Amino acid sequence: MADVLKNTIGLDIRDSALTAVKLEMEKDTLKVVNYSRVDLELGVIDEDSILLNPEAFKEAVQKLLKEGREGEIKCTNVIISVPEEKTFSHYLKIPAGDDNHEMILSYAKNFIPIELNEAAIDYKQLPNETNKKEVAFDFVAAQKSIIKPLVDALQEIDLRVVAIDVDKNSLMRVCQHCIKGKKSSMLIEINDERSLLSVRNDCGISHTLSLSLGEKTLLEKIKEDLSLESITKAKSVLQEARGLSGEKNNDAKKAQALLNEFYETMVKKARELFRLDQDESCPEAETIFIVELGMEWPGLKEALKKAFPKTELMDRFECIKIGKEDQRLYFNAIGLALRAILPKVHEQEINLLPHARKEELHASKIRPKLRFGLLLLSFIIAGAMVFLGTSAGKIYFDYLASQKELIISQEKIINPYLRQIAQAIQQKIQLENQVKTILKDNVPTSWLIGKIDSYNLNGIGLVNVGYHLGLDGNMSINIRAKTKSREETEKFIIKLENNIVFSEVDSPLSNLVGKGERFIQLGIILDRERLPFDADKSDEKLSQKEEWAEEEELSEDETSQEEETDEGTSEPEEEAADQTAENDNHSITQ
Amino acid sequence: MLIGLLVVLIIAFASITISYGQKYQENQTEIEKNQILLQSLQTISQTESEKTPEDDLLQKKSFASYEEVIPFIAFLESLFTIIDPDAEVIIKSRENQIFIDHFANYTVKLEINGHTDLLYKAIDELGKSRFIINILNFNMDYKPIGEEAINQLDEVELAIRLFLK
Repeated sequence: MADVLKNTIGLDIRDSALTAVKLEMEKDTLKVVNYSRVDLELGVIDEDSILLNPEAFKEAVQKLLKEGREGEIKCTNVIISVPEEKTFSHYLKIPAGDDNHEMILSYAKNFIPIELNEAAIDYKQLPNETNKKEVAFDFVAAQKSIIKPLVDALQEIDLRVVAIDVDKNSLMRVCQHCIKGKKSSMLIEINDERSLLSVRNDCGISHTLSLSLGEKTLLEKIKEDLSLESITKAKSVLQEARGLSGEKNNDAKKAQALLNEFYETMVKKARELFRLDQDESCPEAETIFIVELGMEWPGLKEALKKAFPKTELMDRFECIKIGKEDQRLYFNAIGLALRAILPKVHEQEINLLPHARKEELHASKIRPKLRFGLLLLSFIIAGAMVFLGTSAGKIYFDYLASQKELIISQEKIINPYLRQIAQAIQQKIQLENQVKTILKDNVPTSWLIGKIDSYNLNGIGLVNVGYHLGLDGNMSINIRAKTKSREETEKFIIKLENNIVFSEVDSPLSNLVGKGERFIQLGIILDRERLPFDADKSDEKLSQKEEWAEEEELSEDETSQEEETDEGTSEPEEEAADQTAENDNHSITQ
Repeated sequence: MLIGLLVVLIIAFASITISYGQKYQENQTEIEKNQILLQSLQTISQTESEKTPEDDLLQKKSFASYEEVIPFIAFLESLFTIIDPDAEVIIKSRENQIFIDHFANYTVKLEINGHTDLLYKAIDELGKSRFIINILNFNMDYKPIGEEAINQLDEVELAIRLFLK
């Protein structure tokens, strides 16, 4: 709400003049920052506060703001008021329930002389601790036809009406602000046309009495009763009658009598109001405030003092730093401006602004933190949008570039010449691998025949040699040979076993059975990896491997010779072994 | 209103980013695949061009054509008749083996008559043949000579396979 009330002035609209006040709170006192007054010509606003000439009104307001005492009054919002006598106020008690609004409206129909849709209404709940079954409301309504033209005209000159007060409340606000701690008070307001007496207790309940006696009516009455020529003459007579000292002529005495009569009426009505207020179980008013023209009426204060000796009377307000004359002129505007600087009071007070306008204000009543949050959120979202937008753009251009790159690479790949060459080469490689596999199974035949043939020495007579390449890729040799003795057989087997080319030498036990000559059967598996001949290797390498294989054999021969030497020394043992073998053979035959 | 508009724009940009991001990734994957394929093609052709004639096995050896099946008998005869003029060279494979399995099996049966060296030479010559061949098995029979216990190589039987195109 503080935001809504920023740059707000109080604008008092009367048929005779416009007054504007901008206030600031300085510690506990009210500082009038700027103020201005413009007299209105006849026919701009009538006595019933109805706007007659909007254009003249707008011009007057603009002039009012421009001609501030402290320079131009800068504002965007205004708080205006409607006269108490143009409103329909009611103290309302309804049974406590959920839907107060509907009930209040149904009650309101009974005491508002206009249609509800033609009225701007507002109500505030009042404290009612004595009876919790009932709820008390201060209900106020005013004619839209008075309010709306004023609000519209002000809006046309870029002034937003944030509240429409009741003048009585506005005046009372200033008084209440100045007497902190006092509980109840009475306000006496005397204007040109009428006088208003209003009592307000600490419970917030107020009663108002309006008298059709004002400065102007008093003058007219003096003019009539004394048969004076003009109002000006009546004014001078009244001025004379108001004089506190000195001799007074007959006219002045008569005027004085009329004035006293007026004061008596005022006191009488004030008493009535106090009595009315006492019925409400709240104490009697402690202070009487005399405002507006009443501030200038000598004798009034004394008359009231005489009638209410215990009550404090105030016609000057120290809390407002402004001259007494100005206090009188700007009192209502000060009250309106005070509402702008007291947000809590603003919330609690009656506001006759039409409902739609209130909604607009409520919508614009975004708290600064929330606004900051929204702003921050907007920035974040905007930042995210910029980031995503940039990313999207980058990705899109990257995609276009990659699309082109893809087309180029595809063109390169589908180049028939290159593919044909690669295909041909791949086929060739496959073929070559196939040939290599075939040739790998090709045993070095001439070398193998020669190697096996080399075993055909004294003592070993080869009978049949068969080489076979198995389906599993095993290269095997079957040898059938005739040996002179068991020793020769054993040597032959050892020779074969020592040859690294043969991975496995299978000799049945029968090869060693018996003495003397025998036919033996041997199965050999070739070690493919150790074969000294490979079709895909150079001749040089082959010859090296052959040499290496021969060296192996030579070393084997040397070993066998050594063994032979050893055997020579242990001949009896050999013979014994032969004997054992023969015996074994014999036993097998048996 | 403005925030709503911004949110809509964000959603639109996010959709574009996701959609084109996926397409971009797909393209990148495809490009990488293509580059690998292209590189392999280039490597293959480059390796082939850098290869020396000696390295090329297929320049030395080749599969025989069907027309070579019969002449190969003559080739075998020419190799082995020096050892044994009556050497028996027979083609063992049937037509379906030749035309379906793409090889022809031959048997060479010959008496050595002490020409062992010639046998080695003939077999080496056979190995040097420009055709791809394989000696599947061989059988050697020895016979005793004189009173000594040393046996001499008498008969040799070779099973040879000629691989066809």
